[in-house]
Amino acid sequence: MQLTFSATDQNDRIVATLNASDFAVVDKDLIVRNFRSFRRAEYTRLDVAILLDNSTSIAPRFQQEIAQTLNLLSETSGVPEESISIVSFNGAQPAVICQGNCREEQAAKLVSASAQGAMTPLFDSLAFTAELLAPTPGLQMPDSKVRKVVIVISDGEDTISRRSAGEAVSALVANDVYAYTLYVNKAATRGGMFLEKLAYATGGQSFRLNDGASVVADAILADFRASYQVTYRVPDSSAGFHNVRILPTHNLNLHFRCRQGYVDPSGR
Amino acid sequence: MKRILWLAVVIASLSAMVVAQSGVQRQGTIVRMRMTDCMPADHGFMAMMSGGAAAHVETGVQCPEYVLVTDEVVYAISGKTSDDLLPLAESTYFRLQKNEMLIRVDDAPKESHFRIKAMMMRSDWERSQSLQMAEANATINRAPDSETIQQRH
Repeated sequence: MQLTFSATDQNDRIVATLNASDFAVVDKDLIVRNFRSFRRAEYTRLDVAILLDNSTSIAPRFQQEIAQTLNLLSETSGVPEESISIVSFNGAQPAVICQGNCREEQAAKLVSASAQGAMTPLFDSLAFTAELLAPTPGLQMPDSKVRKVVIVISDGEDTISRRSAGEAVSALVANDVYAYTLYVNKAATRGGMFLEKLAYATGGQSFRLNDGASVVADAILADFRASYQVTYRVPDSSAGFHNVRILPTHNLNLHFRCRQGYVDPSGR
Repeated sequence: MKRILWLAVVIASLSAMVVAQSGVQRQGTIVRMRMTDCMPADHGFMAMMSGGAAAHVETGVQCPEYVLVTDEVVYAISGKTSDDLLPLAESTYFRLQKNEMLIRVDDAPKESHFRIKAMMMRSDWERSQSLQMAEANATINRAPDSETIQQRH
């Protein structure tokens, strides 16, 4: 099993130097301390999809969303242009606003022109984005070199999806996509809680729109540059969902972020 | 003479109990960890039987639960709050007091108190683990793979 994770200290700063003895993996409740390998993740590319909720439920904040999105685009300067996509959802189906041609000024026009609607198929759109970011076999570089990220700008509410919240999260986790969520409301709502859970389950982070684009971009780039990969023998050979977490062995001020689990289809 | 001997035996066993209760530092390894619903603060047999507030668990708040293996005994312990997290080092040092396990985490000024939910002799625990593993393997071997299913059809 291979797991990619980030480590932060008590000040929420990325830990640049980590040893294998600093952490243990808890896989389906069983603790693993002996690893097959441990190293810094060797990401060479960041694939970013920005998922914009432009339904009427957040229409008053739509202009702010656009500005925020474009800021994000301009600030992720280390990301190749062809690896940025913008997806919006407001009707029954999610729509790709741009893919691989998301220049700042061009994207601004496209985002402004995209229609606002009354429906919010958030869960379907998350699953759609997971598939959009999944590699095409034989055409793209191996998954271990690419960090796939979705930035979700939404109020976290869903009104029409055919898929459930669980299915949406599973789609992202299965495709190794990390969700960074931007909650657009000020008050705490069920939607806000969903966005927090989504970020936690995938190993990403959750923010509020007021935190600013630079904070989100910094977090994404920090995780891109300073993530770790650990491989280990799965301790419980049973098939099904394995929940995983990484916990410190000595310093309880260390915090680790990784996806919440994986599905072992066969058992070994 | 018999009375003196009897008294000596009683004193010896009492002192052994006192030593055990008060705090010989012991060592074990945490092998399992999970988060479960926290038990209420006044959780106890009488509280549970009386059907009061303690009769139900606090849902929503999750507390850590650990399985700690020592040379002879295996303990299932649980934290009283969600913050009662233990570092998962190879060795965990603890002592027993009443029905609790006391663990000092790093340089913390106080020891953390963990409820002892269950205890088992290590030999029995290892036997049950082996049985569980054998059952799991048997289930995997019994389950037909997709190719076999296709061939049957």
